[in-house]
Amino acid sequence: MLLSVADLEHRYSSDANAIFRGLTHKFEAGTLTAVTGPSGCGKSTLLYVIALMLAPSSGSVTWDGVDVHGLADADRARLRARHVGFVFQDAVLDLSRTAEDNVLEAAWFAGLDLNTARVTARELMERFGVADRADHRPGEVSGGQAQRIALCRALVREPSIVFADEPSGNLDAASAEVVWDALAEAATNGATVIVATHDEARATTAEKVLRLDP
Amino acid sequence: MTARPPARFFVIDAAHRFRSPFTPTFLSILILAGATIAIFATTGIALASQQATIDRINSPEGRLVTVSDSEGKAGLSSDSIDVVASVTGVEWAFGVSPALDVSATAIPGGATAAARLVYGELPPVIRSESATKSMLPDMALAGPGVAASLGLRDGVGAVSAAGRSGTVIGQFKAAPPLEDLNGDVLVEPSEPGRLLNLWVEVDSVAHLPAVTDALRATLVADNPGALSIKTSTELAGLSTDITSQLGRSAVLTVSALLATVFVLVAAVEYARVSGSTRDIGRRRALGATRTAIVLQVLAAASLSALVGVGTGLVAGVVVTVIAAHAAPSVEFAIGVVTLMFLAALAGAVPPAIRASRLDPVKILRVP
Repeated sequence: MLLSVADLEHRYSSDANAIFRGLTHKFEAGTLTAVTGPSGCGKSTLLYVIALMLAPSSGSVTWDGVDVHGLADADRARLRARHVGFVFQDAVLDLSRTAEDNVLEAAWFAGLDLNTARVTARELMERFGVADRADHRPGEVSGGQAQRIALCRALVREPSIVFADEPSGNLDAASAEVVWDALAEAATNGATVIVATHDEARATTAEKVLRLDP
Repeated sequence: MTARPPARFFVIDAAHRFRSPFTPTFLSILILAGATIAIFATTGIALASQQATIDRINSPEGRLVTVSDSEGKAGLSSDSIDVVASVTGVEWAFGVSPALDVSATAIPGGATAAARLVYGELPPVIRSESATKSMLPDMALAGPGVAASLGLRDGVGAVSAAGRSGTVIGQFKAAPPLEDLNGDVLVEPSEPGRLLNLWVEVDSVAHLPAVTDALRATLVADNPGALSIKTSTELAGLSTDITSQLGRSAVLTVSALLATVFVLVAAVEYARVSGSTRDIGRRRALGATRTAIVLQVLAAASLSALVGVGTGLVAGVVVTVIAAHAAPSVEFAIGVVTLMFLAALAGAVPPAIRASRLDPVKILRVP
């Protein structure tokens, strides 16, 4: 899916500094784009804006040419459910549910057939080395495993757009490698992948890099 | 693909939220059960006790209107029976003539008993195995022991008085409020006549005033002003007072408890929402609509409320039966359960709306 932003600007409050300041950019399908820049430049905010969770102060966001921020909240939520996979900086798992239930939560909101989704979830958990943790709760797994579970949750509905906000920020090198490889593979499979990261070394491995000014 | 969770998702999620976290669930159950028991222990017991009182007031004695021509000046006609029987709310009407002394024909100078001509069908409070609707004129029934005192062998035989004669064919027994007739001989008349007493039974004590007014307007008498009409209007008033006082008291009690449930459940659900903002933010990010979030909160609150109300219902019925020796009516129980559940559901609505309005970005962003 082709995502684009035009003349984008955002302020968290009327007296706050503007971020993006007229940013115009296109994110192409099948491409992993790393968004980098110093702290406070709006890397995470850009992801939330494009993922329709935050309305920009000005400018437009389009998905395949459609101005998606003009849609009603419920329609934007359904677009997220249907097309978006999101990997947060910390895993943001439901602490009271098992790893597998956490992965499947995304499938519920997408309206997927649960049996099919369960098969996909188990394949993903196997692939990312957390299958043996399927029945464990998040408090019983390591930080790296929790982030892999979150990755499975983002990919279980085979999204056409994947956002990742500092996905390896809290991980050891091995876990970070797994996460980045998975995101790159999602892009290879046709998804539009946008990763916010302050890790310049990682960013340079991405196909495209968008540097935001402070 | 509808990008919308199916209904069973909300049921499964509510079952999960029921267990974890359990503290708000436990508090909700406690509030609902406590309030439901409180309603049964106050209004339920009062209703059951006062219903028993009203039932006693509504006895045959309480529902009786007695019309008397004790001085014989009113000329109350037996035609009044048919007229009165057609008045709305009248269960039965029955009248007797002034008494005549009768004795057994076969025993000249024998013992006497009071005989009365009876008008109207025998009411349910007068029982006789010998009486049928086809009793012929001058056939008679004797009260318990009366036939023996007259000297009638086998309780049957001819009786006479002042040139008139009749035949006692069996016995009757009158229950309250007509038990005073048990010393008499009741004779089927051959023609209309004058009444000494006319008894009218209404179907409910609440109808007494209206039926009494109707009687005054419809009785067939030469001088209606000379008639004495006795009725338990005080009982009718008492019945009305009890019902209306109970109504006012019940409305106040139930309203106060419903308001309490609303406030407490709202507080508990606010706490539950505040404790799960991360979950709510994550779900919004995953594509849950605001409606889905509202439904999730309401479904979880409903499950707790159902368990609480169910527990309260069982305990409340037991308390009522022990305290009032009577079970509350099914209608009352259904009403209490429904109102309590709706109050809890209404209390969960503001927190549910607040949950749906939470900003996922503020929740999920890591500084």
